[in-house]
Amino acid sequence: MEICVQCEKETVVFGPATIKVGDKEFTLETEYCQGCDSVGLTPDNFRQIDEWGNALPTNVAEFQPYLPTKIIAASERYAKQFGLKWAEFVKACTTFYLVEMTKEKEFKILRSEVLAEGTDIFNSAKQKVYVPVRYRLFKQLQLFAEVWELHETNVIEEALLFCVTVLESGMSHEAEKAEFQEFLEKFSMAS
Amino acid sequence: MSSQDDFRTRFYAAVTPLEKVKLCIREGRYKIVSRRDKPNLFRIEYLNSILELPSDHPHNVKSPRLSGEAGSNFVIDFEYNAEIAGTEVTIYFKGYFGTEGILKLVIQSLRKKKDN
Repeated sequence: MEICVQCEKETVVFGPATIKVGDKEFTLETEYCQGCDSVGLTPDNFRQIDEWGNALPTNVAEFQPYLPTKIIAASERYAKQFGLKWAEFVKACTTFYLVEMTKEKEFKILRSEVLAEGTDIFNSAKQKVYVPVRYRLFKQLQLFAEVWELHETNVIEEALLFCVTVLESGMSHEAEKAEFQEFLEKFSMAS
Repeated sequence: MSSQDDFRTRFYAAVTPLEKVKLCIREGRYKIVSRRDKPNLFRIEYLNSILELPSDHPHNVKSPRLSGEAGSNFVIDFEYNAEIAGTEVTIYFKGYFGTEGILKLVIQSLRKKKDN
């Protein structure tokens, strides 16, 4: 038996280990500690998890963001306009925000400007909603949540606020608005 | 010469511990120790920026650890900056070279440093 790097006990064995991915569990053959809850993941293990997660026909997690009722109403309107179900629209916003907008050179400034603007526009009572997510989006949410020190639920709230604010904006965020509309067209065709 | 022997030769030819870390990452000879209940599957992305670090990037080499073997049983740790998720973050890396079975880099810690 090997010594565990976390608990320093000679309790590491090789065998089937179950890891938690969102609300799901995946079992793989790898080194794990019988004493503490640690597991050693190699590049091959990461590939296996990705293959399993990408092939899953169901969502891996469900988040429950609290959203202003005004933003729910506006997003429902936009979802209809682009022929999407509301949950799909939220996923489109989250994907666009995490994958496309974070590539912007001045993302930090853009983020704070748009979110401040959106908070003023959509200031209303909040309502809890349910947003199920697939594996790939779940990974992106986890990354953004760690980097910005937020909970995944808050990331969804932020992404929706950002995207709907951009859609509602006049001339102030025209480039982002055009980019997002194009993204929504493609997303709508693919879904 | 087997690929394991070839890798071993290149590993010991790498001058600094950081160069050895980069070699292990490039060749996929590593494992990341994670919690089973929250394995943080994205952290593999943090590794890419290590490959860009210059050879003289400051890093610490600490005393031998219990779970290592002679010759490479030291712990290396360092901090580095990376552009991730639209912002620059400081990442803390801590690992050692495990020689039990196949020579590989064991990554004990790979996390974003908390903002002050």
